[in-house]
Amino acid sequence: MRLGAGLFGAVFALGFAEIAAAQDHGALVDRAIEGHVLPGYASLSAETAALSASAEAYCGGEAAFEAVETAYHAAFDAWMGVSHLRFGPSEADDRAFAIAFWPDSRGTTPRTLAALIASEDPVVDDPAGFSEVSIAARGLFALDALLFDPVSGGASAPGSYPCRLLTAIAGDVAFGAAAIERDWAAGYADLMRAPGPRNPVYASAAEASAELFGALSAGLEATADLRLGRPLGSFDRPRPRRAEAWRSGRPQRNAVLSLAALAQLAERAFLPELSPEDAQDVRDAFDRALEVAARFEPPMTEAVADPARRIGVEAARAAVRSVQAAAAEKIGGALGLSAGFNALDGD
Amino acid sequence: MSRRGLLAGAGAAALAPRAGWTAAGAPAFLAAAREADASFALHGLDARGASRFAIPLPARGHAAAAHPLRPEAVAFARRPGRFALIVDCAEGRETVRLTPPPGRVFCGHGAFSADGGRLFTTENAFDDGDGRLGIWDASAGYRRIGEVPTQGIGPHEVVLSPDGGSLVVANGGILTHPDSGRAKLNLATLRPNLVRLAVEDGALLGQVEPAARLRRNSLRHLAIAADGAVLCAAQWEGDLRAAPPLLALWRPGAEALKWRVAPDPWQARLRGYAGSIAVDRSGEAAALTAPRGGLALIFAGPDLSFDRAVLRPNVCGVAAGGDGFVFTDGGGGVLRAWAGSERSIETSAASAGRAWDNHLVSLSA
Repeated sequence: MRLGAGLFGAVFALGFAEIAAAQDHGALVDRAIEGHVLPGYASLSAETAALSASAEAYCGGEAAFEAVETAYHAAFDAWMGVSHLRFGPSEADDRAFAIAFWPDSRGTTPRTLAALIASEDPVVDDPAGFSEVSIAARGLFALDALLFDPVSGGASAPGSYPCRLLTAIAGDVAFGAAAIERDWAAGYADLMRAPGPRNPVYASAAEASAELFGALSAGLEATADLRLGRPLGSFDRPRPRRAEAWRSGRPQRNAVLSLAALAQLAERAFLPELSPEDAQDVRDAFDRALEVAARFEPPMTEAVADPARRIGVEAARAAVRSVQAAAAEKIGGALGLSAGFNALDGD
Repeated sequence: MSRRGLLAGAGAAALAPRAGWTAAGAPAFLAAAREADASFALHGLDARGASRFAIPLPARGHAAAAHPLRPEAVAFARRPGRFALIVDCAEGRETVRLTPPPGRVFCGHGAFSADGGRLFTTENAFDDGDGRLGIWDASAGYRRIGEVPTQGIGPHEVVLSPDGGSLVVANGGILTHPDSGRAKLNLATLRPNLVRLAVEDGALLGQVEPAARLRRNSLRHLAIAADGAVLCAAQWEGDLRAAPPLLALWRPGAEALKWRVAPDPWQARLRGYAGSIAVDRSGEAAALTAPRGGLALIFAGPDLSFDRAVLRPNVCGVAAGGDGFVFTDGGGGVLRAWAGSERSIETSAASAGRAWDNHLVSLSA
């Protein structure tokens, strides 16, 4: 630095470094995009394309059903890597909802699938037409019902109508995932990286990093309140079928994978801005939540209704809430993002 | 239509009866706050925004409603709300505490009937997932006397029409359940609406919803003009690149909403989220706050065209005050601004650690 190596210069440099460390929203946003968002959507795009291909192969009699199951789980795993990034490209054209229609409080997905199957609606043979079908009958949760629930679909024989439906849903998911990936690459990443008065979404880098912090917070909320809280219901009335993708046995896996994705976002984007002590506190909270969430004996549908095992699910929720508290205090505090009393939450 | 046509006389007709009791020493405004020690309180504020009294709240508050005749108001918990406090505004103390019946939670807002005999509270009947308007007998110790459907999911603010005959409810459309806190359960199928219900029996007198492309615009907060025109502030649950309109106008009997937008760059600066709305006493101007964007917009004239922006971090509460608007913010500050003027004056400085909550409720005409 041009001020030279004198004491004043050293102090100045240190002070500058501290200020920069506390306020470098631009670098934070870069790290989030490069280290988390783009790889996450690239993975979703690749895995859903593979799922679409395996569905076509199975329904054409060229692959075993197990190949579809495996591809479905890989695609769902990839979705858990990005399911918290609910802004911009995921929200345009209802793309994320078409990939993941959940929660389904009113059981619309199985009902809509059953209606399509009963009427053998030819819309499944027209990709453009299928993109207009109710989102309840599209996406990974439609596959959860179609592939794993004998009542709404069951493993369908190649050539059957349910198999054509399976191919249509898988193709539609891949199309949506590719659209999100393209939208990020073709413009949204630049929008986040180049805030300013003419930017239609982000006037400052702080707003862009606040968006990412909001996604981190919303992801933790979703795991605590939706993935764990909703199936827990109350002690007297557990609600196992509110668990996420319970037909395919994914509830606990989803909770863990979502936490892992959020931990990655925190680690790569946010923690470098924190003091080592604060960063370690957040890391410890994530590590503990990941450990506790993986510890209870699955399936979650049984665990929430079993007084002896339920406590393990409750412990997982409590551990996620500790992460929420640590993120709000340490990350929100360091970045000046928790000050938005009226801004972070709705109403 | 004359210049004063659309919104003429907004405050005066509806609020005149309260002038008597506010002169007796009651505060000019109510606002909930988070204090420096992280506790929550309801404050009575004087005309400049200085706190005249503070009543501890068991949890975070939201909005309040003033009784039309008595020096009394009701302050609501933030949703999902488990309490509402009846407050003696002259004494600055809680007199009655309301709790929602089983299977219901308060949604943060309420309104009195014109004669002050009944209180209506927006509620979520969470196991059915639909909205209710709870009815309480304000002349008999606030006994629960019934409820009617709000004809939508997730009701939020309710206001009484100037003629006292109907209630307008903003059904925000967002489904929540206490088991999952404030998590939004149905954004994929969001379908907000505004309804007009008869005060007498809750009958549906009118209903309007956003056009299909704006279905993800949750209609949440309301102000009403003397001629019955309803102003609604929305919160967008979609891609911000759409720079959605957030201020809707529903004229009595109209079958569609009319949206009002600000020119670039202001509309985008709202960041898809309006927190409160108010009409000033002239009835010629409306203010919309946008805490995420850190600004408020004032619209004025018979067609409510954009007048000016007021930049203020975390500004959210707004009410008519004097010949303009009074704003509160999340930094504990109180600000005045006017339509047709560049002026804004901080009447009460930001206070260390206090955050004013979403709404500022006027108690006086």
